[in-house]
Amino acid sequence: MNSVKKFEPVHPFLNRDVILNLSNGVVETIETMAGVKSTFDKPFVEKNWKPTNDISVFLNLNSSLFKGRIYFHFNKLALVHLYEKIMGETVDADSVEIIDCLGEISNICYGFAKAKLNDKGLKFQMSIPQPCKTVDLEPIESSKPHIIIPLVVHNYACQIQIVIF
Amino acid sequence: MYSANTKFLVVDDFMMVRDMVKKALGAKGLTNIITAKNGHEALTILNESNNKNEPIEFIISDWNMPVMTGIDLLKTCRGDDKFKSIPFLMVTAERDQAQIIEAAKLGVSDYIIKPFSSTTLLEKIEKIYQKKMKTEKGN
Repeated sequence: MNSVKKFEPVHPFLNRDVILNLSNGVVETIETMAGVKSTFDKPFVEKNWKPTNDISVFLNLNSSLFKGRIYFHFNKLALVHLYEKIMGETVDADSVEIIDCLGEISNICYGFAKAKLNDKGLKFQMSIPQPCKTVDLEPIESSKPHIIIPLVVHNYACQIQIVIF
Repeated sequence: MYSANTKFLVVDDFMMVRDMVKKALGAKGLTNIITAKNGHEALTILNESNNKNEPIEFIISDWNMPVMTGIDLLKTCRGDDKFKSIPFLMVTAERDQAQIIEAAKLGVSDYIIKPFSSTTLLEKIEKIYQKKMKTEKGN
């Protein structure tokens, strides 16, 4: 099991519990869906971090306690591998299927984490994933620092990004 | 088990899930499958199929979708004489206990939490079929 080491929260509700549940949600979802092991690394906080990956998806984090957004940024070759493992058929790295695949993975990860966090009183609401190419993402407007959780999927660098508004 | 001609409606906003469900059903010879991206599209298909005298016989739907959610589709179906007895299997990433209870109260036939295997999906469909047979024999 991975562990998140020392981490200074940028928001009272973005604590170790939240980070761990989101990270574990990704690892468990990918392993269950595709049988692929992934690992996450120590999260870091950065004010003007910009994603440079291939495919991204975001879900709005709406809770009575705070509002924010969670992004998943994935390398397209990692997604090709996951898609082929899940569906048992080959797929083009620039296809719409790859974008769709990340949308569904994020949907399941969020459902996993949301249930665990709501049990602890965070009251997250349902959210619909909005996947796209990373270059097409709208700029993020938040003056607060972003939390980045590095993730390695099939040897490709991917990231989870949490933004609080 | 359902016959090869049983008409399924698979509703999910993600193509990958629609394809996964189609594959799982197809492996069992169930190939009469129509898909929709949200509850609104599903309702249109339900009405059109009914008007053509080729009614949908089984609905497999996601919960969390844009335009019209799976729970709203379920409510609409259970409130409409034409569709209220169609088996409705909810396949969703929502695992909050309160939501599962809400779906049960609204008359969902069964519930699968994503990610799921094709074995689980087919077992649930079989379970719903057996229950339906039992109810029909009882009437």
